[in-house]
Amino acid sequence: MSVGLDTTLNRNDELLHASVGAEECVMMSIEAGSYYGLNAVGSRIWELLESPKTVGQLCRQICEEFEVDAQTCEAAVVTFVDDLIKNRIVHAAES
Amino acid sequence: MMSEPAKIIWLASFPKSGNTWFRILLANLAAGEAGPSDINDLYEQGGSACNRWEFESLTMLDSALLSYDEIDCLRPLVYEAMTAEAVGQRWVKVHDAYTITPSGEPLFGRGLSCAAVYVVRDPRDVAVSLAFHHSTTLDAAVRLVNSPDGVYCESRDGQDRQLRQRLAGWSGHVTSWLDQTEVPVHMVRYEDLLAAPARHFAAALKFAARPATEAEIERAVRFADFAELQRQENEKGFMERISRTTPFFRSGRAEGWREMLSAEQVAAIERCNGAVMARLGYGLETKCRRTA
Amino acid sequence: MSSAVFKRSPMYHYFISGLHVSSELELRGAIPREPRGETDDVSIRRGSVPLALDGATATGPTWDLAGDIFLLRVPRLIRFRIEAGRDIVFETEPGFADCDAAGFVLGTAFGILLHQRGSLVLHGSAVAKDGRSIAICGYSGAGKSTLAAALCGDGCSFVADDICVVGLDGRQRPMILPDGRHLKLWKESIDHLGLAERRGRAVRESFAKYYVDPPDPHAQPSPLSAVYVLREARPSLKEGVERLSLPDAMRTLDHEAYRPRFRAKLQPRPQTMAHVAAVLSRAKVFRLVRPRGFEHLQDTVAAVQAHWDSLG
Repeated sequence: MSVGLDTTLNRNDELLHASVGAEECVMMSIEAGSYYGLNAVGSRIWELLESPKTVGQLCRQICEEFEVDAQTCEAAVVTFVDDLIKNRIVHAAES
Repeated sequence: MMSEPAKIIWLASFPKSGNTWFRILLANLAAGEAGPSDINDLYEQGGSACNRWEFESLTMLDSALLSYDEIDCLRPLVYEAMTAEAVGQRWVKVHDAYTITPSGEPLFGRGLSCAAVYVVRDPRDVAVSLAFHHSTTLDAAVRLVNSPDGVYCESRDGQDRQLRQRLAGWSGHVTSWLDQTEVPVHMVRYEDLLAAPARHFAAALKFAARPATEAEIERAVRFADFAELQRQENEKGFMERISRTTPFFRSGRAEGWREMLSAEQVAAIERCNGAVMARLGYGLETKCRRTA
Repeated sequence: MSSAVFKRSPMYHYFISGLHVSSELELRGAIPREPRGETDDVSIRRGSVPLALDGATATGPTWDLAGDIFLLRVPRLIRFRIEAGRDIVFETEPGFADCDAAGFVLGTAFGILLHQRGSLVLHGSAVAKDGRSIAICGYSGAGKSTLAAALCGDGCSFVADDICVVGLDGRQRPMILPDGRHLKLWKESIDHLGLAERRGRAVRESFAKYYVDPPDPHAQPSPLSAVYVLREARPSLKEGVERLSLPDAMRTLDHEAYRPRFRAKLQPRPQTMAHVAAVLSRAKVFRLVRPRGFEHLQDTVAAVQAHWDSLG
């Protein structure tokens, strides 16, 4: 089930993260022993989630910063966020 | 049967006696519905007792600077640390005989929370399987089965990936594990596992106090079916295979030795191992049996 | 009193992985240097070493850790007390020769000391050419040293063997520090590579592994281009060079660290992660799968050289 635009997202603060180069970012869950890599867009989303934001807010911000139309952006961000939630990198907050 | 689940189960066997198949059964049990589990993911299970990386990681030492005997003297301490670290129950592959180190203590046991499931196979079939796996002659394989000094991984001029394992010949290996009294041990015959896998797998799990329902066991047995393993190996290979010419999952049946070993080779194996073979219910071909 | 009665122990001096070392024990596996006027970074002394550490916060089968003091026991042979990335005190058991102690000092003890200093230490070898270097990692016995030695026979210069320190320069670029040591090779490798003339003493009496004088040691730190993780080709693992994804590269560098479990206990995770991330910002990590066996060595050398050249 996909997230809605109104869902607020929180970072999983237990994850360690570090930037790699100008755009990418790598993350690690010590507990799970898993590693994740985020590309430029993913890293920016992670950065924006320093404070809780809704999916809609993320879409608007990403759309502004990257050259992409609103519809494509929304679809891509939603898919991406679903993946982040599945991997427990972010949590959907109870509304 | 164990009252409290042991933290480490030594899954011990002479090489080519069904250890890998047993571990695949365990992997499929753990995988549950998601199976059949990938045969190449076996390394994610309990690992082995002679993994050099783990030895070096726990001792902080460069094993290349230690003699084989010095390494053996350290292994009980390493296993003690492994037991302390184990999360849940860990099944660890072992090919060593139940050896006493030069310090006079057993490699395994050290008064710890551990038990052993010992998988045994007809040494005549073992010899055939060894020859195929290592691409050696049948005579060389028969020698390894017969020799009380037999070892795995004891290069003089280089470094093997694994730690040296003393095999002690098939009889020596079997009796060392079955007759010791420090570690509770449950024996499984490969041939029985072949004939009635669910029953004998279940018995081993019960011994180890590893919970599993009948349905889960049946499913694991189905997912670990020999045809499935051959299919997987054919499709993407198998990490444990070293032969260039023969697949790891070659025939998986009993008594294949009849078509492969010469009468002399059979006699040689039975001469050295006859007493223990008889004890375990393996019928002998030759009349002249060595008394124990 | 006659001054001849009181003799100072001779001191030996070395420059290992960027550190000035003075040692009471002759370290035959390292390249001697002239003493310098100032205090050294690391001192190695003989002394009394306890069997255990009071107040240990972590213990293992052969070691205790208490703050910045690490105690290592090699039963019946030698014990070490390694403190604050600065001092190594060793005590040998009766019958264990000093010349055999050196291998343990240079390897294990020094590796731990480097971790105490917060260094990023890989378990691997390194070679350089055209002002850049590569590291070769892999499990013990994989053939890292042999491949490094073979590359040195093919125009590269020798940087490090076994313990490979990756520092960061002022611009956060990863650099490999020359280890000031000899290669360590098994007899079969020495014979195959034709290095018998450069063969020194055995790393331990009666062992068939020897120190080998590297033909062209590289004196300066050099920027790291790539890390190659060596794996053996199997029916299920095809030959070739494959770039690892970012998360796999990070996992691999964590795994290929020298004594990773120890490093995890000693260095805060965020710090090591930042350091590794800085390395990954400039250097790529590859898995190099090749057939084992000396008959394939030259092909592997050619493949590595070609791949390295292609990195630009």
